[in-house]
Amino acid sequence: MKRERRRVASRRSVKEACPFCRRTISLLLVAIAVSVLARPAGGEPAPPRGSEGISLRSIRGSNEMIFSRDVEDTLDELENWFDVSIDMGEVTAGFRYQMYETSARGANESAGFSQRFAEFRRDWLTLRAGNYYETFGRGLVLRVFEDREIRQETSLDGVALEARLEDFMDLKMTGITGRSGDDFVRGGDVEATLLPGVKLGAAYAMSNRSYTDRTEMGGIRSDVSHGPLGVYAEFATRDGFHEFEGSGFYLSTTLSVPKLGVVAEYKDYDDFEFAYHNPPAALRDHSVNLLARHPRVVQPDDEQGFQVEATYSPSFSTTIIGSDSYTAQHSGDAPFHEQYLEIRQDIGDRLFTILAGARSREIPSGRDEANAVYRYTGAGELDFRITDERSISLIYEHQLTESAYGDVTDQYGVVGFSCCSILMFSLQAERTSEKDPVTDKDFWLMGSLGLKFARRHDVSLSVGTRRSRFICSSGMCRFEPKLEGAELRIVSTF
Amino acid sequence: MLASGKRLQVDVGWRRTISGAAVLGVLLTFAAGWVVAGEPGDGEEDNPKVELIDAADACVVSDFTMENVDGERVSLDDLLEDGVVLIDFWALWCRPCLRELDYLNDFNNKRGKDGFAVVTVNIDTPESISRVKSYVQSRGYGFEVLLDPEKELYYDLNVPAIPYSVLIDREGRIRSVHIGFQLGDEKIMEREIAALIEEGVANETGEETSGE
Repeated sequence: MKRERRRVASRRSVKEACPFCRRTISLLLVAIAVSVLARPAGGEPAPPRGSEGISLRSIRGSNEMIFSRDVEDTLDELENWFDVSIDMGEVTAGFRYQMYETSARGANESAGFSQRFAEFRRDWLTLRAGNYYETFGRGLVLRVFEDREIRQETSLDGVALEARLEDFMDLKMTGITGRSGDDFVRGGDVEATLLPGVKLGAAYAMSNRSYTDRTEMGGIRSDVSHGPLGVYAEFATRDGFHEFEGSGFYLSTTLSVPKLGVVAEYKDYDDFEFAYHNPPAALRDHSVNLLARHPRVVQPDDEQGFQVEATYSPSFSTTIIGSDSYTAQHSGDAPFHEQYLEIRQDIGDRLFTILAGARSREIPSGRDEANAVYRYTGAGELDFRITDERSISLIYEHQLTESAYGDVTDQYGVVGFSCCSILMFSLQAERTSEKDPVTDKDFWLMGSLGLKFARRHDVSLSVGTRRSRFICSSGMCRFEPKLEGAELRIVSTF
Repeated sequence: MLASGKRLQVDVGWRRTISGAAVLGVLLTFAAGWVVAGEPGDGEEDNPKVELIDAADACVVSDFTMENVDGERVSLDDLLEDGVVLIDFWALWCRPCLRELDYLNDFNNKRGKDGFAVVTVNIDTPESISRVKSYVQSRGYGFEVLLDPEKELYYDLNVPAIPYSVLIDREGRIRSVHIGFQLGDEKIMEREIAALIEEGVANETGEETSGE
């Protein structure tokens, strides 16, 4: 009865489902697709590289479509990215047609050309007009980028110029100016190799929406490498018209010798918020599903910490990775401490195994030790090649969460089968010891069928239930809501 | 849904019209790729499973120059002088990518002397650059590792997902593409590499013969 009431409520909260039923043909997309289809079927000799000019052969593109239907909430979502670029040697031009549609009432739908650009490239010069991405140093001062998995897209629309004088200290100079929404962003970066293995750089970036809403960033950096050792350091300051001045510091030291690699990172960010940067997280991005569920999101306004990670490969078939990371506010509040160990072992040419374990301790901001949350996670993965073309994979993950609210266990497993490089089938199941408060479920099961066509098209259809989760990259996360229905994903390239 | 907050508002009716055609666009793109994949190449006679994109239909890749993990600048033209090149995009967080790298290293070691080279392009974030060098060194990989933290080449080649690899012939034409990696893919890749190397040798021999 309780479930029925929720269903009725959810039906009222959304518009009529099945938006596809109302749609007809797009002349634009048809024109593009037809032009692609009109490629010569063969026989025309390929012109020399760099002199091809505009021809159908110089057109490249890709399309990614994700459509999901939640049958319980009668909610449809469609996302599509269609990228095309024309490579004419020194000049490249392209665009992106992007779409987001949902049947949810009041949601912001969008469709249109989200990007277009033209780029001129010579040996020492690159000039780009339109949408562009850029990073100064390791992102303390400026980083505008796209990460589709977390739906992060901060491209600027304007002009970017990069000049490189290889004969003069390998000097690299970059200047940018552009808009993002109502913001106007400008910046410059210069980097020079003073001595072999010694690079110095300086960067500046500014954004302003109005005279009273202005933020300036400035930074210097050094990158020194000698033999197996490397040290990278970057310091940047932030100055806002109405806001506190802040600073950020990042240090990374590396040891790279045969069989062993060690990276130690340190970060210290204080009042360092800026809409167009992405300072290093110094945290591990996990591929273990249950570990990725509970990320630590980077807080540039008040955060310091470190991470040490070592990779040891005693033989080509064995790899051991260990890491220890700690992050907290300057006051010591809101600590996050995680230790991770992973062992990969290949047994012959048929069996590939991974064992991983992690322990983390986290206290939410403003709470004391009594509110600490401890997580103990174990994961195992096994891939077995049955024949040259067929293989099976098994994944099992277990997580125990201890907190003031009691202990909760979470188990996640995947059974997969792949064949002939074109077919993949998998079943993913998850069970928790407590019911999810939002969906009132403690078991989720999803089946996925993946097909590849001509090695250019990757189609996957998933049907069943999937728990809500976080998807994270570099200290930034996206919340992916639960799914009780089907999801179709088609990735194509041409 | 767009994290940047950018909204592209167009007329509702027009939006519905064009958005509905996304499916059609996808299908046509799909068909286009199928057509572009072309007829099987010369290698098919020797092995029925080798399907290279016909040279006449293949996209040409313009030269690019990028830094490798040691800070040296490497250009595609320089690499192509030595022969066939396989470019593979990967990241440290991508499990299938790491598995694929082991096989690519094997190809590089086995066929390097035949005029073939593997070039991998790492697309991790700028902060991961240190980890990439450390990982590659510890694994003892012998192939070239280029860094593309701003994803310039990634976007230039319209890479839709990783791992993603393209096999490029001596003339800079993309003759094969692979999205994703499953166990068994390496067998196909190995056959394609062998076919393309043989094709290059056959062409060279043909040119020499016609020159005489």
